[in-house]
Order: sequence, then structure tokens, then C-alpha cells
Amino acid sequence: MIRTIDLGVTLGRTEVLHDLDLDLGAGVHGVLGPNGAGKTTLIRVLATTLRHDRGRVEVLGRSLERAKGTRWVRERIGYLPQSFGYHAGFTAREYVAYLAWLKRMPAHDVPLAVDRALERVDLLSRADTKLRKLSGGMLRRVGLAQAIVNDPMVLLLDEPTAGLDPEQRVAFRELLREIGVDACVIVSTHLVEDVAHACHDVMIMSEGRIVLASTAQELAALGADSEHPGDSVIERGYSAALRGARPPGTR
Amino acid sequence: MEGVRVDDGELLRRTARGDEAAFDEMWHRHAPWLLLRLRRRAPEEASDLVQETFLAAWRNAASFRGVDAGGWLWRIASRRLIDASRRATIRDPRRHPSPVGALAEATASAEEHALADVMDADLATALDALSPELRAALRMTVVDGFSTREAAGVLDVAEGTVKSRTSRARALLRHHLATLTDTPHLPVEDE
Amino acid sequence: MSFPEAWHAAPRTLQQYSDGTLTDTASWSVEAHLPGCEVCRERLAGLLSEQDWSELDARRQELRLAHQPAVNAPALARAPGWASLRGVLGPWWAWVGVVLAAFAAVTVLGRAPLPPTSLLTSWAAAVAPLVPLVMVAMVYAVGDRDPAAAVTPRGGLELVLIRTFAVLVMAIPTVTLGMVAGDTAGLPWLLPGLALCAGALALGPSVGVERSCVGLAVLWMAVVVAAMPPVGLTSAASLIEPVGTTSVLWGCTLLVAVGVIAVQRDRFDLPGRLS
Repeated sequence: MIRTIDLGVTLGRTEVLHDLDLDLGAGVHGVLGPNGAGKTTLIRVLATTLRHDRGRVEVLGRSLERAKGTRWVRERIGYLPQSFGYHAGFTAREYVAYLAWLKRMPAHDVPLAVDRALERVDLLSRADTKLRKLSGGMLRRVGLAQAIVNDPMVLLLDEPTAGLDPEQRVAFRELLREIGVDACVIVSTHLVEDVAHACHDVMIMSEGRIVLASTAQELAALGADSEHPGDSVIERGYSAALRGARPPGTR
Repeated sequence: MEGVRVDDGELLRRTARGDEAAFDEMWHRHAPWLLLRLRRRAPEEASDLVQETFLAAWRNAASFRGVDAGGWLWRIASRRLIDASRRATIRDPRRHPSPVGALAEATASAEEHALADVMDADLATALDALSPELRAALRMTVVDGFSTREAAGVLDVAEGTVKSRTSRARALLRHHLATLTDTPHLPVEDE
Repeated sequence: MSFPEAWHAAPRTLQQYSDGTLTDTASWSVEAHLPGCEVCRERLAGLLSEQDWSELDARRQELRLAHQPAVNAPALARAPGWASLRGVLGPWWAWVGVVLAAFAAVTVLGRAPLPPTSLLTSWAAAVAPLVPLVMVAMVYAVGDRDPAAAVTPRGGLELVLIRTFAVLVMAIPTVTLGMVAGDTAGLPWLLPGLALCAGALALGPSVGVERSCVGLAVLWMAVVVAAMPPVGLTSAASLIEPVGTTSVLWGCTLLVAVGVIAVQRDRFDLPGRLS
């Protein structure tokens, strides 16, 4: 559903992404990495909000070179940016409905779709509360509701669990796994536990490249008897991978 | 309700104003067929789904427009079915939902079809000749109104598989009907 | 293809459907029929088993309707609602403010005295063409800045067109009324006004709409200064109050700007460099 070939992005003078090759289908894919690794830039390129400089990007089989293709893709994706703007005077319901309208959902579908999206993120009880009165975690869930309102085939989330309490994070991951049954979900995060519990596979990025693409289990295996820093096995595996270790049999 | 029969649209408008008696009447009219239809697609979750559907209907009654309340309710129900199906897949990745439902896989003879008088007997016979998987794919897209992607989610197969099954089913139907009736007769609509 | 008028499923068929013994293909037909036929639904309800009815009754009991949020959400019943308009155009008070300010400016300046050697007929001529430009800048400043909203099919060119339309609908009557009130009706402000507005949008994809508005406003003010004493350039004055040839000039500029927008309309939808 998402393919990139030799993707490269330069912002200012820095080459933020180098020669990135991706081929992702349905499922929940995690992108891990330290700050500055290029995770957000990658998500932005796939979300069609940032233009790439080199290579090819194909989302749902369409390249993003032409406006018509870009509009077609945008109807079918969902994007939760790291800091999303909102109108404080909107209620949660109004905001999600506004985004649904922007995404060209048929008018008669919108009320039910908004209701379903708010229910899936468990915000129905706050549906008619103004956004300025919602806590950070709730705002994040509103953002998620907006991203899923059109039942997208590709869902791109940039640090989505920031501000959520542990119980909400569990619910969040469950929802992602549910969506990942037939959609391509890409989650950029620096929280290793997110990866362990929700993602089918993980890409670790560092300095604009993917240094390791593997599964959560393999990562844990890497960390099993290593002495790299980390509180959990997966964290150790992550540290190890950043330092160049590889599980047997991966690229 | 006594006296003049109120139509579904009016019941939903009253429901939107909080009239629980109107909601009850909607329940009595529509819960039975929804239960039976959902049971043929998700036997274990059917009553849950009926309950969820009506809950959503209660919340969203104000947004009902038009005249087809049954269709509106089925749309809500089918979305719930997809969500439940995906959740079931996570719980058990090796689960393969029965494509037809646990019930009534038997096919019938041509005379039985004619007696039942619900569908052109030739068409019914032709449909019977399809495998359950092909029939299920066709049913999901044609009768239930799912997109190929949604049908894939409920049937737990790849989207490409749904597409190829529906084309194959249509091709087989056309062929079967042509041979049965001896005329190039195509009652099955092309999309 | 016509259907028989009142086709209904036979009782036996409905009974089998209720029991679950009806064939798959016949069930299709029944299922496609039921949502639209209240007669058959009623019959089916009558044929439903005791067991099924008690199951349904139990479920109905479980439905706690009283705690359900928002029985009524009429604001959303028709999309786009007010909220969508507000997202695209910004808050109403910004518009009210701008409209009132523009009206006041055009009126007051229309009646304001000019320096004796001025080449212009009225100060209003200097201000009126800026009104659409200021409105464009405003709507982009207070309208949506949400990155999630920008990445939508409507968030690109369509958004630009809706906003431009709103600006023109608000600007033209406001300025016209202001000129009537300020006794300056008939001043040829429309062509320069439209041309500046179109120019801002044409430059938008390259430098950003707000920047192009500011830049063009500054340029315009420079022309105004050039027309005033002590500089007093006639060419500048004729640009501000175009007649004859300068009208044609402005007309062409407008056409060119619109042409540029049309030619690069895709750029409004494509992902940008800066994000």
C-alpha cells in the first residue's frame, strides 16, 4: 500500500532522509528512532504534506506527482500530526465533521461516520464539549477520531500516544491493531512499549536512514542477552540496533 | 401503538426528540430482521450487534434523511459488523469466518426454488451452482452493500481475492444462465 | 426492468428464514427485500421464535438509553455545517471587524480633504483597492492552520476558491456602500482591486499568500506616495484612478494573474516544500 524507492528529502542544507526504501502493506508498522532521525519527516512525506526531493513515493498505488493523484490519495488516508491545530470554539463533533467534509465524505454519511469515529476513540461522552475544555489526552483522541473518520486505508500517526495515560494507551493500541487488520497503519513513536504491544513490525531509523526493519520479537531477541542500555528487553534490543547490531537473518 | 400506523421516518423524528416509545416501536419493527440477517453473517455476535446498532440509531436519529429507514439501519449494522469482524480477527488470527453462516448451506432443486418463489428459479439454480466462497463474496458486495475492502475485512481474505471472486461469480452466473435458458439473457447487472 | 407491484415473500419462506432453514440463495432475496417492505417485516416479526424474542427483549432491557449522549445532533445532520464554514473562513467577528473597518475607511477617506496640488480625486481611491487584499490576508491569517486539514482533498485549491469567493462577496458591496456613503461613487477601484487580489493568489504558491498580500500592499502604497505631492507623478495617479489606457492595463494584469492561477492550480494541492 505504501512504497518508496530511494526516497530522499533535504530541508535547508541538511539531508534529512537518505535512500529510503519501503514496501508496506496492511498491518501496524512502527517507526522508532531518536530525535532528529527523520521519523516525522518520513510521516509528513507519506501524508502528502511535504514534498520529497529524490526518489519515488507511491501511496495506494498512486504517485504523488500530480494534483489529481494527490487529492485521490488524501480522500483515503488519515493523518494525525504531532501538533495539530484546532479551533478552540469547535466541539469535538464539529471538528471531526469539519475534517470529514474536507475529506469529501458524502454529506449523508458524515453524521454516522463522526459518531462511529468518536465512539471508537471513546469520546462520545465529550462529543459536544468545546475543544478548549478538553484535556491534552482527549484532544489527541479527537485528532485520532478525525484521522479515522473516513475509514482510511492508510493511517499515519506521529507520536500519537503523547499525553495519554497508560489505560488510554492500551485502548489506543487495541484500536490501532483493529484498524491494522486491513489498513496500513504507520506509527512514529519514541515509546518502545507502543511498538512492542501494537506493531507487527518495526523500522528503526537513525540519521535519516532505516537501520533495521524487523519484528518486535526479533528486537527483543536482540536485547535478550546484550548489555546495551534499556529497562526492558525490547529497549535493549532497540539500543543494540542503533549501534549496529542485527538479529540473525535480517537485512 | 394504536390507531393510525406511523411510518418509520416519523418514528425516527420522534426518537430524535427523545421519545422512547417511538424508539420501542422501531425496535419491534426492525430488530427481528436485523437479528436474523446479522446471525447469518456473525452468529456469535449477532445480538450484540443488534443492540449496538440501535444504540447508534438512538444517538443519531436526528441525522436520518430520506425514506429508507431499513436501509439506514442496515448501514449502521454493517459498519458494526466490520468493526466486530476486525476485532475477532485480532483475537484469533487464524479464524476463518464461515462464509455462509452456520446455517442453511443446503441447496435446493429447481422445483423447490420455483415453489419458494422468491427469485427467478433459473437464477437461484445458477447461484446454487456457485461455491459458498464465491456466493459469499457476491452477497457481501451486491446484497449487503460492502465495498470490496470491507467485504475482505469481514470475510477475512485479501481485497484482491474478493475482487477476483466476484468477477468469477458473475462470469459463472452469466454462463450458467445462458446455458439454462438458451438465450443470451443477462439479468445480473454489470457494474 | 420492472418489478411486480406488491411482491411479498410467502409465509412459508419467511418461516424458514426465521428458522434458519431457508437456502442461502433464497435468503439473499429475502434479505434484499426486507429493509424496504414493512408488510414482510411485520409478518417476520410474528414468525420469530419465542427464544429469539426473549433474546431481543433481554437486549432491549440492557439498552440504557438515559445515559446516552446527544440524542439530538441536528447541527451535524447536514454537512457542511456552520463549523466547516468557520474553519474555512475563520471566526465571524473577524469578518465583521474587517467589513466595518473597510466601510469606515472608505467612507471617511472619501470625504477627507486632499492636499491642494493632489492629482487624485479622493483618498478613497487609494484605500478601496486594498480592501480585497486585506480581506484575503485576514482570512488566511485567522482561517485554518491545521496541518491535518491541509492534507485533505478540499484543503487545497478548493479552499482557495471558497475563500476568494467569500472575499469578493464581502469586499465589493462593502466598498460600494462605502463609496456611496462617502460620496465617491463612480471611482474606478474595481479593476485595480481585483488585479491586486488575483496577484496575491497567483504569487501565493511561491511565497505564501500572506506574504504576497503584504508585498503587494506595500507596492501599492508606494504608488500612492508617488501620486501625492511632493512627488506628484501623473502616471502613478492614473494607475490609482485608471481611465482609458490604464484601465486596459489593469484589465490585462488581472487576466494574466488569473491565467497564472489557472496554470498553476495544481500547486495548491501538491505537498509543499515547507511544512
